[in-house]
Amino acid sequence: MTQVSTRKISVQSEFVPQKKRQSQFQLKAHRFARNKAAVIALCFIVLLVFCAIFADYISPYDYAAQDLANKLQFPSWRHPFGTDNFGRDILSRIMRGGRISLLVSACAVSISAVAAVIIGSIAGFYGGTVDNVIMRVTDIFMSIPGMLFAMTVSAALGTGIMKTAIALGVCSIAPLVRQIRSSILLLKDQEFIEASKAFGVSNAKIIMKHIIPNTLAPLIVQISLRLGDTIMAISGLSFLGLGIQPPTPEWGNMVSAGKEYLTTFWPMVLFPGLSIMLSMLSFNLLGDGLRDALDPRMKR
Amino acid sequence: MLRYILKRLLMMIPVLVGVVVVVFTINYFTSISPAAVICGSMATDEQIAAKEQELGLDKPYLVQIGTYFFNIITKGTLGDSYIYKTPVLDMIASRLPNTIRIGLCASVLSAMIGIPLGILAAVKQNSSLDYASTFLAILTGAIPSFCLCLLLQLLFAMKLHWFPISGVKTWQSYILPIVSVALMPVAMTMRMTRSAMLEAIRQDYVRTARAKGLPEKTVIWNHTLKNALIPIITVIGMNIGISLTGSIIVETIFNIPGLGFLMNSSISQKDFITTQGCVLVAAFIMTFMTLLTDLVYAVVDPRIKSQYTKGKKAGKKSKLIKGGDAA
Repeated sequence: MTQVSTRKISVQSEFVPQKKRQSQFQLKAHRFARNKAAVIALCFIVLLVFCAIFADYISPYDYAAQDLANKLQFPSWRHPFGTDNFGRDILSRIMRGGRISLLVSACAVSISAVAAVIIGSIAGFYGGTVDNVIMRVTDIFMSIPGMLFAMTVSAALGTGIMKTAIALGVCSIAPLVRQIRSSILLLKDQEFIEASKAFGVSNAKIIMKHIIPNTLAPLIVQISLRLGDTIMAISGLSFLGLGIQPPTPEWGNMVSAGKEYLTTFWPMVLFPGLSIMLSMLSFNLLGDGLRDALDPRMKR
Repeated sequence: MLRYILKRLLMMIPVLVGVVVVVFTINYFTSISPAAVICGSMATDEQIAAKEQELGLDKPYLVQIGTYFFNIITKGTLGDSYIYKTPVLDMIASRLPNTIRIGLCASVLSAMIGIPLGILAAVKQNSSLDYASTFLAILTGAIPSFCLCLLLQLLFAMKLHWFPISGVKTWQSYILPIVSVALMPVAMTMRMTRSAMLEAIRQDYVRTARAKGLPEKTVIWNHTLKNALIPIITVIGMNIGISLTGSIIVETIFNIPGLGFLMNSSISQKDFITTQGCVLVAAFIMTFMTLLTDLVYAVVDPRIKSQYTKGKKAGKKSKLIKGGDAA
């Protein structure tokens, strides 16, 4: 529907399509801004990214500096989140750990998104045998429970930042392929694609010019939701000792280290746990907000 | 219907073969040799090579995977554990009951809480109850399960002493793990029920039912919920599949000898053949649950059932007739 109306206007006045396009964006931004939860979530994510990038400059202490005389300190003015079993400042470690979590989940999601866009568009656009083969392969990957699959891959690859990212990225390709394929199948039969085909536009150009831009909205929503899920998965793997290994701080392995002291000292579990929860929550709320803003069918 | 079930069962075979190939390949290209781990750090190269020969790990990829398949088909075994020397299938069989007990209870619990909450939220849309339950669902969906387990353990086992800390000795010890496993599915079931109910409640046949003067109870239970069941069943089926394959984190924290626990310990011991077996069994349970969910669709929805029995055309026809009736 939107495509049709855009075209009408550009036919009527050839020189303003640029402006119309911008107002489309503004419309979406307005719709997004009305969703308070999503805006707060976005602010929190910006703060998180800022902390992750500038962790070395803004954190109150060195994340690795040990101070055994002041170990297991409860929160105070000097150490807002307390200190851990080696006397390291928990706030500084959470900031540093956020960098690892965000970096790994960004890498993992990029890997799966790029692979899924390529495979999904091939499956959806060409259909037939190619589509069938790709779908059967995704069936295989989808029938292995996600966490078990991630564990197997990361056990085989070994631990470390890049390896964990690859393991988690590979594991989330299949569900994403399905999503992209289904949104392309919806697009494929629409009039403007048919029109392009009738004009003799090449398949590659149709994919680049029409299909990918139009699948971008659901993809962005998926990416936002996946980022949250992946942060959770990384911390789960690290908690089990498979993802990021200590002494590199990561929220999951910080909780794992803290569980030994749980009965007497809660900050080591609570604060990293809260960080995971808040980032997961923000990415989910952001994803929901984006979906409502970008999906024209939801327009009220 | 029977033919359809048979067809679906046959279609499971290539998927499971694919799973074996995928998991075997991942384990084959692992960076660490299991033989080296079994022999320990003091072992010489000859000892490791001898161990590899004993386990058949020195053979080429195709021979190894061929043997694995051959053993599954002819002997029905998944090989012997590298470490304990016992059949992997026996190890899994002795641990699966714990996982199934927890998984089934958690699934029932999550459906019993999630569906009514979702219906309430949808019926009273935009009320404070709706906002509260939606917020709770989002919140519980975001709690990392290991934090939840640790907090439950701290509060109810260590401080209040209501339940044992870990193990599976008494029935009380199952309660905390069940609650931990159930929480995430509750959130998912609730959200799905709410959105499916909202979709159905806006349909014309619901308006008609109300216009006929039917009591609101009948409208909600007979007209709305019945039509919203398909997505709810999908999410419940998925949840059962996930819970039955064992929550690794929950089982590790509460020290429950289940499938997830076995999987985790086999990974840390580099006992990859056991890992492989666990993943395979889990994938089998998942595929089976998907099949079961599809069959339940047919029981619940006569439109889908007629598709199975009379072929696609008849299905479309009956859909039209049904649509006409409702309007």
